[in-house]
Amino acid sequence: MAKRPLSSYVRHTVFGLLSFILCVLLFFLSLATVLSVTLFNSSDFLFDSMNSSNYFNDKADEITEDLTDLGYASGLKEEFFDGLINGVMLSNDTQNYLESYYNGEGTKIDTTEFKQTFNAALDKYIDENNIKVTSAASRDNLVNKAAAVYKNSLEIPFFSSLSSYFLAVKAALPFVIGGLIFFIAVICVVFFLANKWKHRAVKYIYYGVAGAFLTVGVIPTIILLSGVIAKINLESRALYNLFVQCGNGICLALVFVALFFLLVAIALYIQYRRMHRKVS
Amino acid sequence: MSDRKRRHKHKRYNGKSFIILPIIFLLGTYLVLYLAFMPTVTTIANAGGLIFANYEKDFSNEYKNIFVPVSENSTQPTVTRDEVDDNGNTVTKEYIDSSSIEFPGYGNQFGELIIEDCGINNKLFYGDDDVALRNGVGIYTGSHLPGYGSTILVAGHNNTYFNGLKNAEEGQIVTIRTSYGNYTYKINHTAVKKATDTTAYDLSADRENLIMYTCYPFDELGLTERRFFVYADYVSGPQVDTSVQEGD
Repeated sequence: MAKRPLSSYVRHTVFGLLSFILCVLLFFLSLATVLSVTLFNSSDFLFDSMNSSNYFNDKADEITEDLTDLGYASGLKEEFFDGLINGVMLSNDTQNYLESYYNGEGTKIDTTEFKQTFNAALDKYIDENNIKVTSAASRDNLVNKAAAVYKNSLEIPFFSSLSSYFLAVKAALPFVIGGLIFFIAVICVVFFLANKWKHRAVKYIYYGVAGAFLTVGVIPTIILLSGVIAKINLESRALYNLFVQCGNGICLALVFVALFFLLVAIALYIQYRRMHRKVS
Repeated sequence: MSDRKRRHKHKRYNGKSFIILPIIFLLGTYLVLYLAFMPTVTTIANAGGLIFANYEKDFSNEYKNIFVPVSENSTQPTVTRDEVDDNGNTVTKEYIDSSSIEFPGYGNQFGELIIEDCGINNKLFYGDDDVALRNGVGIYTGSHLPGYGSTILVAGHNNTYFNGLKNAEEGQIVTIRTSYGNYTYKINHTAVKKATDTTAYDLSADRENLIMYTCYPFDELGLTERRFFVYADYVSGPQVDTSVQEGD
């Protein structure tokens, strides 16, 4: 049998490299798309995740516990704090916090409603227990400290410090996705135009897509199976559950994208075999 | 070359490349990513080691209790040292061997603090965080434990476990019980000072002394700026040999 000509090796190498580049581009496209649909979409993803992970109930319990500790140093009994943290108030303040963040307005938490609620409860407590408040400054100090506890509890760690990077990535993502789609399309067109036998073009595209299936799917699968997300060291139970929920959700989304690539790869392979049989 | 030979040439490419090449692409992509992010890989890995633990987070508020009351007939392993006293005479002193003591971890209950005249009988914790003060009184970790020859600084809430300090007077006895010995201190005076007054205590003192503090005034509604300090001198209790720790 005659040896393959050198040009054949060069051609296979060049197209092989293009397939590899296609694989890498598909990997980044998957990552960018999943992130743009989830974390970088709008505040809805995080807010919906909070609702489904029981975030607000856990957060209300945590804030109540922190305020009770403050109460021990302030002459307030534990019963004072029962029902003080209003779930609706917590939900509204959190939603406003997330919306202001995603709109580039910074991390704003308005404690006005909380202070009003706290002051009203304090006035009622003083009346019911006939307490004589000897220092208005101490009372004000308590209210401000309680508001600080509430505000600190609502804040998500690192949100503020990563704000500029987060918004920059959010703004750039649509362009990144557009650019990746463009280059992927160019590579596919090059495959078809540069190959006389079209089944070879399908083959090279298959290599890229099958590689993308493995590349996109392997790490999220390992993360989900190993349960490493559940081992994150967060002090807040509410934040912990939220993080686990979001992390697992994003990994699952990547796994589904990988499965989509698998289906496309299988379809391409079947198409390649069909076309190959016709020319054989 | 005939058409048949050319068609036969297509059949030489078998299915192995359809499996092997995607795997090569997988490895190649991760290699590219590793090379691209190599300068930050160590930083990211170290950050990951800080953020992620080896086990799932436990959110229970249970604290560890290592306190086992010392019975009357029990003995602790001791070491003896020759020391020169104030008169210049060499004396042999006995100390508890520090290696025999289970040093408490942060947030552990390791003893009890009792002032009978004030109606105080509290769990004693190592550390003064919210969990400790919610369940008893806590030693500031920047101070020392009983038996270590320096200042022991104990905090507690004025409306709960240290409410009885409002009845503290000179001459009253404070007892601290630990797993390695029982200690007594005598109150010598009390004082009201600002919370930010760092002259209220000396953590580097070279003699054992006990300082208990809480918010002041007692039963006041709100957060106050003043603290009520109770100072007590060491009376009795086994001393711990700290010389082993200094040399190692």
